[in-house]
Amino acid sequence: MRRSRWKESEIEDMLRELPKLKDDRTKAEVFARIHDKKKKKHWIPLFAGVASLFLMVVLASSLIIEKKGTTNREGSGSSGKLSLSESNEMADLERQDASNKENLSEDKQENQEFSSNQAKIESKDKFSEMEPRKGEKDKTFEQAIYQEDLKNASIITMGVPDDQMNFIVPISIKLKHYNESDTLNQLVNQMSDIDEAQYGLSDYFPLDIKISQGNDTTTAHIDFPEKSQLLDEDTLFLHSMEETLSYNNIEKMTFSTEGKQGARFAHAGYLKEVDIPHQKIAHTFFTKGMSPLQGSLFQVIWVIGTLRRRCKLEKGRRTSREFHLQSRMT
Amino acid sequence: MWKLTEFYNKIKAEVCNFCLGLTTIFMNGCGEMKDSVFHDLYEKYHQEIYQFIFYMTKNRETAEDLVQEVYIRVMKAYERFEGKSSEKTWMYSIARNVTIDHFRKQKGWKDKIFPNFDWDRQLLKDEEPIPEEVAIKNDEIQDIYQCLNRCTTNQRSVIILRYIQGLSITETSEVLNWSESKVKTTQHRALKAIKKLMEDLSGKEGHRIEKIPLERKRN
Repeated sequence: MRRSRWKESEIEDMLRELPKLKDDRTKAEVFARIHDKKKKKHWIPLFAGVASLFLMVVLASSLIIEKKGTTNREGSGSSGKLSLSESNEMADLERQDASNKENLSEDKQENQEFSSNQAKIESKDKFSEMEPRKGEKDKTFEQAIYQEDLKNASIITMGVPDDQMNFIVPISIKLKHYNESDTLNQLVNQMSDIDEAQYGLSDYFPLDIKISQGNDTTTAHIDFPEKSQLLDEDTLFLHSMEETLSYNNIEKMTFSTEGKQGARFAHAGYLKEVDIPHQKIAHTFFTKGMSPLQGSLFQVIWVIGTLRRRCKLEKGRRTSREFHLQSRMT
Repeated sequence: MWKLTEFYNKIKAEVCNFCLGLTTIFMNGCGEMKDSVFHDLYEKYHQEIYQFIFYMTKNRETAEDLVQEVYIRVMKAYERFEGKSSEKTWMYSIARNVTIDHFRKQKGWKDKIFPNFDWDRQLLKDEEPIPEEVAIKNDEIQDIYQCLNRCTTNQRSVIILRYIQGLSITETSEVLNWSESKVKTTQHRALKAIKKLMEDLSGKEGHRIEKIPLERKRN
């Protein structure tokens, strides 16, 4: 074996013999590279600092705004609870939601006592409720109209489809000056005035039809223009008109197209006249809920009216026929 | 809310202007001084420091980068240099710290989490090429160059500082911030380790050399 043992001194000598190594770069080159490196190093933390500052500002401002929003929400929620007891004027949406929840649970309890039939959703009585959408400033909204409110006024009711087009929701509007002989004109006026969006309903009215009085006071005559869209969407239209006219003492509606008798509906076929069915005694309660898929959705809780039911309602805060939830002073 | 934002913007603008002003004054004032410091240090120690870092890292590019890093650190801390040790040992100690930082960065997350686990990296790792200056020397020098790589960082530091850079025990102890006796002990152990490595290496070589004549005999 070659060089089996090394002396430490030999190792030391060999280490000293290791060659001297030199950096081939010039001084200027090294200097320039140091400057480049310094610049790079300088800008990255600066950029990071600016970015973090920006993020902080954005997050802080969003937090402040959120906090402000929550405070408002809490405030309105507490005032809503107070107004639930007896107040009829509940205009704020939050308060309305709170009241709906209470009413909902109340009615659910009552439903246990009476027979309910969900298959008859179409047969609704006028006991319905709508949420007003305007703010507190609008004092013209009322939760309900009682008979004593109608001493110097009258009401007109129209059926408005909800925003999902599933239900026709009756809206009662209080009129100061009302001539019963002029019901249809008033109806047409209200149709053009009504702002469905504030009740959370679809923008359905006004319709491109002419409504006039028919042969007698209990008949309404509806004239369609040629190729009216309503002729295609006839199911909704007919339900809406039945709902609307049934509340205004109209028993029959007749149709014409451009003055010619009869109208050709896409689904209902050719119709000259339609009898408006009598109102079934049922109590329908509309609340605005949340759909997991589509957002807002009307929920309908209703019961078939019975004598017991009516009596119970009359004992309570709400009455039967005289009770028109959601109205507007015009 | 709007007032708050306006106020915040004003404050931000004032602070930015102030900082910018300070930075400009500092840069203008210190720029010339720092340049002269660099030129001075370069003339005195550049090749020494470069050589030290090269023997520590065994890679030319890495050594070049780390030397630059040394200058940056030196210039940052130059005003704080108290003169307790010599300028030379101060430079060396900075160079050593820079090198150790480089080794730490080289260590991957696996090594940090499982420091004792061998990921077979020793087998897979490519050896750094021997520099030209070493390659032209005899086998023994080349062997000792390879053995240097297998010592611990502390042992290597002592060996390089003492025998390649030619520093005294005192200077080495200043660079490493150790006591002189620790330097001596580490130096002794390092030499012992190199000796053993050299013996191992020569044993293998001897075995290899023995094989060649056998083959020749057959021919």
